[in-house]
Amino acid sequence: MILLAPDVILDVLLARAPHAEPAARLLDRVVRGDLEATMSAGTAALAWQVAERAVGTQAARGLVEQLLALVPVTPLGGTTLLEALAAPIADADAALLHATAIAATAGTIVTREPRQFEGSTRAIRSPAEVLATLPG
Amino acid sequence: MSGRRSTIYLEPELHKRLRRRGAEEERTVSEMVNSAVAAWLETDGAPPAPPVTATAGSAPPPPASPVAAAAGDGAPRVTPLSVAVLAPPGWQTPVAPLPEGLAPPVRRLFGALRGGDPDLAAQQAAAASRYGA
Repeated sequence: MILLAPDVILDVLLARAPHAEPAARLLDRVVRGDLEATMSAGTAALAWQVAERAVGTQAARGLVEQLLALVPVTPLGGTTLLEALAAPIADADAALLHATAIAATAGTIVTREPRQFEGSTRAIRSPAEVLATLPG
Repeated sequence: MSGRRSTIYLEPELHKRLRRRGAEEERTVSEMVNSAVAAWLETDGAPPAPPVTATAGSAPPPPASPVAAAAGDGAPRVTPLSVAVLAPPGWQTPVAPLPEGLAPPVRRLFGALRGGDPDLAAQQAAAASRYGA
């Protein structure tokens, strides 16, 4: 199980070169069932907010529904928040993602901003690094 | 970014919007504040800019959005910080070509928030005809 950080999801949605290709290929492997992935509620909310501004309210809802169909959300509850507060990670967003990964039993957080996650007990990998571990 | 350190206090909602925008555009709050302040200094005390009708500096005109609608009279106004906050998402980053062979659900999401990009739209249409939507 991997946790996809918001930068990876936004790289796909915004087709941001040069990061979008490995991010999309990783998402493709998830869709094909080669590995399990989840994302935080905050990531889905961020995608929704960005989408609303980019494509309008109705289209944004459709896009977020499509995203949720591909990558399920791990719920964020009080226990997870307490875990985030206790985490030895300075950045609040990163601490929340780290705690969400623990809640999801995800061994890896996929991001291209590894510095934010200093202190994490999860493996921090870029999409390309995760792809390199997969067969074929 | 190099430069002198200075502490500024932003309204919580403004800070949240800046961080959100930074996530979209891969810019730090410092970079956005720097560009906004530089733009403001360039105005040299000029009165508020007119409503956005064409472009705001190097940024393309903003799309219709809840943020723009919040301007009140329906016409978003360019202020130093609104240049950073209202610019369309992703306008600074180059668009990536659509990778070959993606499963249809991923292909549909790829660049979905850059729908206005004619090159990407053409690639998506071509891929859809090749692989079936």
